[in-house]
Amino acid sequence: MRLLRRVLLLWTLGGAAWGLWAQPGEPARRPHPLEQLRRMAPEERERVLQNMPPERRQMLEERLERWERMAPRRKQHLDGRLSSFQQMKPEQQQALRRLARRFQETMPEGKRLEGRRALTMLQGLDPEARKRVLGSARMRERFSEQERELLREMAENMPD
Amino acid sequence: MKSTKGSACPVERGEEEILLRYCAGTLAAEGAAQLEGHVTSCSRCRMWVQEQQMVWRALESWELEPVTADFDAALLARIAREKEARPGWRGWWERAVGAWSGGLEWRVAVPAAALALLLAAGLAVTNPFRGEPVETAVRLEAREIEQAERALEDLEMLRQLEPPEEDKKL
Amino acid sequence: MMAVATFEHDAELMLRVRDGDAQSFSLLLAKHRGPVIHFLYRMIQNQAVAEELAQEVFLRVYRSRASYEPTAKFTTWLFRIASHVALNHIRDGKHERHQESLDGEGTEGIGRQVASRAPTVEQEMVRESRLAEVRRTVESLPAKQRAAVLMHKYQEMDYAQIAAALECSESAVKSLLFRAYETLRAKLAHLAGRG
Ligand SMILES: [Zn+2]
Repeated sequence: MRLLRRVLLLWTLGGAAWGLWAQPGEPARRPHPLEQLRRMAPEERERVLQNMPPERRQMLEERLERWERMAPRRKQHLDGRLSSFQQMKPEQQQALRRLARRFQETMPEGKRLEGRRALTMLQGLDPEARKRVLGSARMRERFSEQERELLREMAENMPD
Repeated sequence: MKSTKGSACPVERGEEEILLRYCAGTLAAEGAAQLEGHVTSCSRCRMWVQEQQMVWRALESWELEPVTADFDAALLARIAREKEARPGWRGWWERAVGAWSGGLEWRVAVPAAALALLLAAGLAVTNPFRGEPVETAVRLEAREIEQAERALEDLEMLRQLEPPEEDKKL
Repeated sequence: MMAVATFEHDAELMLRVRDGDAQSFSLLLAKHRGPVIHFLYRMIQNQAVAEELAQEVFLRVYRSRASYEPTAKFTTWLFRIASHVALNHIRDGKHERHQESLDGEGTEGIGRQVASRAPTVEQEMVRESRLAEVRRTVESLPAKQRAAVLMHKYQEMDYAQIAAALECSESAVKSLLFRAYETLRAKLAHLAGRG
């Protein structure tokens, strides 16, 4: 089961990113670099990352460590989200990154939590239902017009 | 509780407060035992106590939502921002904030990461990480490391778009 | 005996924060963040707002580190700040309209799910409606009574501590609690008999 999952994951991760990083002449598909890093023993990782600029390296290591601390099902879920994301067209990916940044910058801190929950709910709806929910008194009460528009755009651009 | 005012009944004496303490379990053992004797024989007090216990139980049924996972991170980031004007505490606050990297403000982290990527891209053309090739069994090109960084960045973005309680799910 | 140890420990941590130790602040935060947020949540009944106000509370704790003197128990001091923030928020009318609705459209469903049990739909509806009644009734209490009850019931603070937190006399606390519980008994006592 674990092996199957890993193979599937590598396949999707590797497949999606292939065009970007495959080099002509490379023998076979290698796992996505992220997956390679995850699998490395600490000393090995240390060697591989030793020439990185310290700030970037610290950020990368922190993120790897956070991932390692997650429960297995959580890892699986997030990797699934990532692989769906990576299967989107590059311009769609870029659009979501932009929207996510706008969410962090413009959604007031006190509303972000509700925003994240609303987004999760909206994702599961078809466009018609989404429109209905976003137009409901309850949503209008909680979010401004721009905020609801942002949530709608994000829900539309989220990976499957 | 000494019954000096004629009646031993707290309700009659307007001293229900002692019944409240009895219900909350904050009455000393001796007083509680004494009162218990009265309560079993006095219907008014018994009713009072029963009702209070029901209120107690009703209040206990009030379940709470989990605290947002990045609560501390957000707070420490706010404190770090406050401290920016006075750099004395900065070093250790940044370390504290660093321990909660989830709280790194995107408006700081994202441009910084983007700048780092740009710089790295520039360097990569000429001399990736300006170091000699690493002689190990496993090697990752600078370009591949950038891909890993990008993927981690995207993973973080996707994580932060989900409600924080998802983090607690097993 | 517990109380003494806690008193010394928290106060000591706070004194270390005063001297510039971040680790001690993190420890205080880890220990008290839950109780403070829960108190604020029950006061305001909106999780996002409660967390926002809790941020304000801990910011104030941090800002007043320089002038901190361990004259009172740390929790009492903390809840004085928390009560202050909550009562101000309510007084300014900021809480209007943001109480989370009780039946909901689904946006906050996730946090509420109780995974350990699998009650029937009917049981779940009864539980939900009872909880809704508890929340409504607590919300109907005047703010100061509400604060007193919440500290008494959930933080298990004694009259003297509640008095210090609400900056009033102990007899005023008794009267606040008495009136509050009278209302709660009238409105909630039937709940336990049902279902
Ligand atoms: Zn009696």
